[in-house]
Amino acid sequence: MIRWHWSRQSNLRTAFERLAREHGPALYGSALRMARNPDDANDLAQDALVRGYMAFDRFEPGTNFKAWMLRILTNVYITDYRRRKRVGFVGFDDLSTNGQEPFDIVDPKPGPESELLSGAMDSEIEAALGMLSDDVRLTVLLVDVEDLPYEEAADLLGVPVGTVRSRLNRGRGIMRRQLAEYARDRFIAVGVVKGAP
Amino acid sequence: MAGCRFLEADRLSAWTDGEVLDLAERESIAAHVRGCPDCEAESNRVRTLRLRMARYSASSATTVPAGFFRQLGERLDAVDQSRTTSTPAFGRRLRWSAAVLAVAVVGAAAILLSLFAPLRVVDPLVTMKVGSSLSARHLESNDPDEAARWLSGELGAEVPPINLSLLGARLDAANADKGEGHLHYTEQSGKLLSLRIIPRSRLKKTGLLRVLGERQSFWTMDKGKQGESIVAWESGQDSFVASAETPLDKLLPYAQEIARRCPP
Repeated sequence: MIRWHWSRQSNLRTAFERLAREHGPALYGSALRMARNPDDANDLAQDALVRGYMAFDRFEPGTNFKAWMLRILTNVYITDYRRRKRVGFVGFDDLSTNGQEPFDIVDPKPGPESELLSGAMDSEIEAALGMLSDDVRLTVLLVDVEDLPYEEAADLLGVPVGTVRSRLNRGRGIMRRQLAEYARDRFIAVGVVKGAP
Repeated sequence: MAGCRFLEADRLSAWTDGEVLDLAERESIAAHVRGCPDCEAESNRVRTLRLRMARYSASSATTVPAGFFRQLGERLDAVDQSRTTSTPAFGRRLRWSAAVLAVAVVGAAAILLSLFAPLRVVDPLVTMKVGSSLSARHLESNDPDEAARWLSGELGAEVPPINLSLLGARLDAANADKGEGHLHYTEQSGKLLSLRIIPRSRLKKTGLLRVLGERQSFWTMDKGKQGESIVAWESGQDSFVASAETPLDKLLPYAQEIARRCPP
């Protein structure tokens, strides 16, 4: 009996490690996008995998391990990591422009928006995602990056589908504006370089 | 889309994602989009953003940090270790049953007690401090009208109405000793909104200034005249303004100007 238990556990461990190695990089990528820094992402991915291992006897072989782990990762992030994060309001002194002169907002329309969006760089997408509130960002990540259907994202986040819809709409709107601004800044920077002697 | 009143943006977005499940609704939106250049363009922009996000997903972070699997292996060892030294299954079940029973008894007692206990507001809707120290005046209330009246009195200025369903608020006390007040709201959908009340003397910049915070955009405006300091927030598609000294009739044109400058 003990030997059977040990053997089963050993098999579970081997099977789990094989899947963890296969899907670990993608899972770490998801963790990095959620936590937004490598240290937290490492801890988050590790915690999720340990929890996955502890529940692995309930995982049905042949089903989607990556999706199963994404669910665990999102839960760990929501329950453990997000709670730890301080809400990042900046003090008024931090609202200074680091010595730069204030500038007026101008309408960023150097070209058709679709072209701007297509040409956005990964670092700009990360920065634009960083402009979203945590709930909206997580929703955008689950639907637009992880490609989950609305219903699944709603289930994971514990909110109605309508909330996913409105968060997505809001998040995408902010991202589009932000990406357009980055594109405009790039456009201006390129103009300066071109105009230099 | 900008000028289209037929279709709400989130419905169009959901339709573009193939997430409108009702066939009749789907066909009605499709028919509208075919005949509406604004909505068609908006739908294309949503699609482009999704395609770009999919590329971002594929390109970002394909490797784990060095030592990741070694660390994982050590943690899995610890899990295995605790499993082999833990209580046998029967004992575990017995212990679980006892724990469940205990929780049920305590829960039932709590429910019974709550039936006879007076209702109590645990989380105040609004907590705010304004003044020169952390022990300055503050209000705890779950009544938005009362909060607005109190704020108006404290600040000597009319506080703009806040038409939101508020779940809670908290004080960010970090700058309270500098004479600043903050109201942080959590809207029902989880959206975080802030109103910052700053005395004019604290506003150093002039002109319209846009600074990016960690998660939000802030706009501050100071016209340089007594009683015309203003701070505005944009969060999501909403813009909010607050002022320590500006009467509402002077505040509104600024609010309109900021709303005009903020993208829709």
